[in-house]
Amino acid sequence: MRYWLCLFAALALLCLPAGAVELPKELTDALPSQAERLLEGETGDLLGGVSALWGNLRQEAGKILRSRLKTAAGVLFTVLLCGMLGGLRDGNGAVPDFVPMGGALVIAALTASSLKNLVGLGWEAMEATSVFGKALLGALAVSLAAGGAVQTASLQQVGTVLFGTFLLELIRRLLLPLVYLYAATVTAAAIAPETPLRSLAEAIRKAVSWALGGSLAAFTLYLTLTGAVSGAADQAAVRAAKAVLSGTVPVVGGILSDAAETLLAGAGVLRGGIGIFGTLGVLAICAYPFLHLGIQYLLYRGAGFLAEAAGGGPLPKLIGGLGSAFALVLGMTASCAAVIIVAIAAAMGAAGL
Amino acid sequence: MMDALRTWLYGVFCAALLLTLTQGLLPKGKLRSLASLAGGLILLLALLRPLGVGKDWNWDASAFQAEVAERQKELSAERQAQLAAIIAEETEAYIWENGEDLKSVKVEVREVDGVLLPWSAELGCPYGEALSRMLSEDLGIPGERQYYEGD
Repeated sequence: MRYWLCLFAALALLCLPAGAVELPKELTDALPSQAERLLEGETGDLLGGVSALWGNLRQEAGKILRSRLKTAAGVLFTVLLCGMLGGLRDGNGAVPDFVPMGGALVIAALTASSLKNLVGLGWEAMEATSVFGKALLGALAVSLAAGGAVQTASLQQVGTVLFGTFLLELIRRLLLPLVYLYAATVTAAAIAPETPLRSLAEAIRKAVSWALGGSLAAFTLYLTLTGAVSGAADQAAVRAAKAVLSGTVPVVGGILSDAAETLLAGAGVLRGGIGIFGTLGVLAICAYPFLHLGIQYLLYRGAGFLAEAAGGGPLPKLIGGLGSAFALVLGMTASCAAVIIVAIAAAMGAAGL
Repeated sequence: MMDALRTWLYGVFCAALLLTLTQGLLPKGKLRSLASLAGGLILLLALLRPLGVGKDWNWDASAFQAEVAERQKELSAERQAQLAAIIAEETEAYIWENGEDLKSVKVEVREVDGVLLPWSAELGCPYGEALSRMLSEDLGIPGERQYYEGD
C-alpha cells in the first residue's frame, strides 16, 4: 500500500512544469510522429499534455464509435434474427435446434476481422512503446547516474529493458495466441452449450489475466527491492566521496563540492523533464488503441446486455465472451505501458542522495 | 524458457480439451466415469510435466549480471566526464577572477585516487610568481604542470 502511495506521489511530482529543459535528441526522435501530433507540442507540462491529448481523443471518439458500431449492430441483429427464427420453429424437440449454432457462427465471423484488426493495432502500440521505452530508459539512467545513483540506474534500466522484452515475447508467443484460442473456445461453447467448454474458456481468460497481473507484480517487486538495496549502496558511495572531498585543499574542495551540486541540480531538472516527456509519450502512443479497444469492449458488453433482454440462450454469453477477448488485448497494451510508467516513477523516487 | 512455457501450456490445454470432448461424446454411465478418471490423470501429468524436465526451465543470471556491470561502468564513465567538465569550468572561472592580464585559461582535470582534481593549467600570460603560487596553493596544481605563454 505504501509503495502505491509513493508511486502516486512520485507521479504527482511530474505535474510541475519543466518548460526550459533541453531533452536528449535521441529521446525526442524516438517519439512516433502520430503521438507527437496528439500532444501538439505540449511535452514539457504533464497537465498541458494530458489536456491536449484529451482534446484530440474527444474529437476522434465519435468517428471511432461510428465505425465500431457497425459490428455491434450486426451482432445484435443476428441475435434478434435467431430469436425470431427460434420462435417459428416446431417446438416438439424432434428436430435439433440449429438456429443458435448458426447464430454463433455468424457472430464469430462478424467479430473475427475486428478482433484481428484490433489485435494488430494493440500489438503495434506495444512494439512502439517498447522502442520508445528503450530510448527513454537510457536517458533516464544517465540523468539518475549523474545525480550519484549509478548502481540504481544500471539495475533499473537493465532490469526494465529485460522485463519489457520478456513481456513482449510472452504476449506475442503465448498470450495473443491464447486470446484467439479463447475466442474460438467461447464460440465452441455457444455451439455446444451442454459441454464444459465454457469453463475451459473461463480458465483460459483467467490464465491470461493472471499471467499479465503476475508479471507486473513481479516487476514492481523487483524495482522496489533493487531501489532499496542499490539506493543504500549509492548513498554510501556518495558519503564516502564527500569524506574524501573534505580532505582536499579547501578551494579545490569547494569547487568539487559545487560541481557535484551543479550536476545533481541539473540532473534533477533533466530527470523531471524526461519523466514528463516519457509519461506523455507512452500515453500518446497507447491512446488510439485504448480508445478503439475500450469502445469495442463496451459496445459488445452493451450488445450482450441487450441480447440477454431480447431472449436468453447461449448467444448473449458468446457476445460477452468475445467482448472479454477485446478486454484482454486492452489489458496487454496497458501492461506494456504500465511497465514504462512504473519505471519512470521508480526513477523519480530514486533521487534524494 | 519461453518455448518450454508455451509447450507446457498448450499441452495442458490439449489435455483439457480432450477430456472435455470425451465427456461430451460419451453417454452417461460407467464408461464416461472411467474416461473422466483417465482424462483427469492425463491432465495432472500434463500439469506436473515441468518438474521432470528441468533443462529447458533454467535461466542463466550471469548474462544479466554482466549486462548490469557493463552499464554501471558506462554510466560511471559518463558521470565522471560530466563532473570533469564542470570542475574544469569552475576552476577556469576561479583563475579568471584571481589572475591578472590573462588572455586565455585552459584547465585539464584528471582522476587521482578516485577523485577528480585539476591536473594542469595552460595560461595565456607570461609567468608570474603570484599567479603560480595561487595555482599551487589554492588549486593544488604544482609548478611543473603550469604552462605559460612563451614556454
